[in-house]
Amino acid sequence: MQLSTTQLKHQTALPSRRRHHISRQLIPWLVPLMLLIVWQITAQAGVLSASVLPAPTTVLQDGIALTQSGELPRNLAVSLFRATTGFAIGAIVGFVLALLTGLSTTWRLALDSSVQMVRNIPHLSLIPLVIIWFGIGEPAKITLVAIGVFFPVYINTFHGLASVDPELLEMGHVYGLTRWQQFRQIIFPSALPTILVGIRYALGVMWTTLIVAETVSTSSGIGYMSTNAQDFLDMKTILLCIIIYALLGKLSDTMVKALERQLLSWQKGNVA
Amino acid sequence: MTQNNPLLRLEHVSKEYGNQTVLNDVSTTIASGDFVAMVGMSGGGKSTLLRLIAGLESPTNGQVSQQDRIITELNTDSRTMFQDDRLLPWMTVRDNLTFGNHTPQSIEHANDLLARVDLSSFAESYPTDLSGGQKQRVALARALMSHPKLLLLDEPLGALDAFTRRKMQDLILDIWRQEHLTVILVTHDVTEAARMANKVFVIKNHRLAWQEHNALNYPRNNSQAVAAVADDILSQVIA
Repeated sequence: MQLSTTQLKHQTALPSRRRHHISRQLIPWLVPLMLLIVWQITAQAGVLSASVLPAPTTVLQDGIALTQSGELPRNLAVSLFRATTGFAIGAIVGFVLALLTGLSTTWRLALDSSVQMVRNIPHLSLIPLVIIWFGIGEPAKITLVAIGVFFPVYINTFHGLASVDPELLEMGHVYGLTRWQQFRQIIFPSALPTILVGIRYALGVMWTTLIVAETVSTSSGIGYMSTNAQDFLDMKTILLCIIIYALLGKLSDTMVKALERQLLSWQKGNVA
Repeated sequence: MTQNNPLLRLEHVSKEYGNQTVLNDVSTTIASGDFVAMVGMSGGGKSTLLRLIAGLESPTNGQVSQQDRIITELNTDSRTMFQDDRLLPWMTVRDNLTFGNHTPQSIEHANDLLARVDLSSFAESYPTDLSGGQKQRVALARALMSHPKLLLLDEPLGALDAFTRRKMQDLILDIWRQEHLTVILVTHDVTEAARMANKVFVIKNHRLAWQEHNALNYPRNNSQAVAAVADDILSQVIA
């Protein structure tokens, strides 16, 4: 049986496409992997002292030991609770406020310039104020995360809503869409890419704020583990905490990217 | 050129933006079933006149009425097709017609219209997968979804290549004949006006300077005659 050129091309194209897909998945991991290898070799060769930079295997062993003792899962759970609660509060308040200012001229005039003024204050400079108001317990940390998350969500949502193509809005008007339909079919989908950029940025701010908040007067959380380890010059736990933050940051970013792929699939076209 | 019972009646219509007069004392009538082409130079007021008929703007003086109903807000008996397709890129082609209304009747009607514009196989595609001509065919199908009496075409073929443009002209003419629509087309292209419309308006210096019947618009197979009418229109525009 002879194969036509098209059939042959099709048969060879599939494995080639799969190979291409796999290599695209693997390439981003090459640099971290190389760094780990170099780090391990350097540490094993004694180029760097274990008290300055312990080997990745030592950090891994520390992670396993802390997991088995329950210390790591407990502190991780506390950090995740603070992060997600603070994020949820900040994102919801930011989104709702941006809906008001983005959709209503009256609300925009009343609130937007005030919010834009306040956003120029670095939110971490509010730590002393927040501690005085809320003490050193959970509310203070959650409030700080919420304030940090609020601004990127507010600004991007507001910008997305305010930048909807007026010609599309006119089309919606001409075709008799109600205000709710205009919002659901035109305004919100149009603003969604910008809103998702805000959420992605806010997730980064969330972790940064949490790290700082957990190093200030606390007795639990990954930040606490790191600060505590610093007191004992425990480099392997400090590095473990840094790697956990990096992995959590990467995980949250990957989740938003997956959400973007799902919600914004129309940008790439193809059949729904 | 007045009729006893026209579909549209424009009486002394003027439109000003600040101190600038865009339309000055336009009066005419358009009968049901007419295909009117409005031609003229850029900035002459053609599109403004179309927007007044669509109810997207109000005249400064005078009035526009459709079947004795004065148009003071959105003219719901009309649908406008714009120069750009204005499709919603996050919706599939079919959803652009139904606006997400997934009742069986709505979907069936959308499918029928997509078949008429020869885009059935693209119903589930997103606009980004379509060519300029295909997008305008979707926009045309969308305009027909609500069975409008009046179809307002604001230079919808201006950005298309000559071949696609000719095919779109034929499609619009076929739909105009089959649906017994009244169509008002704003165009810069006098040949397009001569080929498509049975009535031609020349808008010049913000006034309705010339209006004439044109018997050539269908079956539009005499290119020499079309060229002669186009020449006639052109001379009116630039005179």
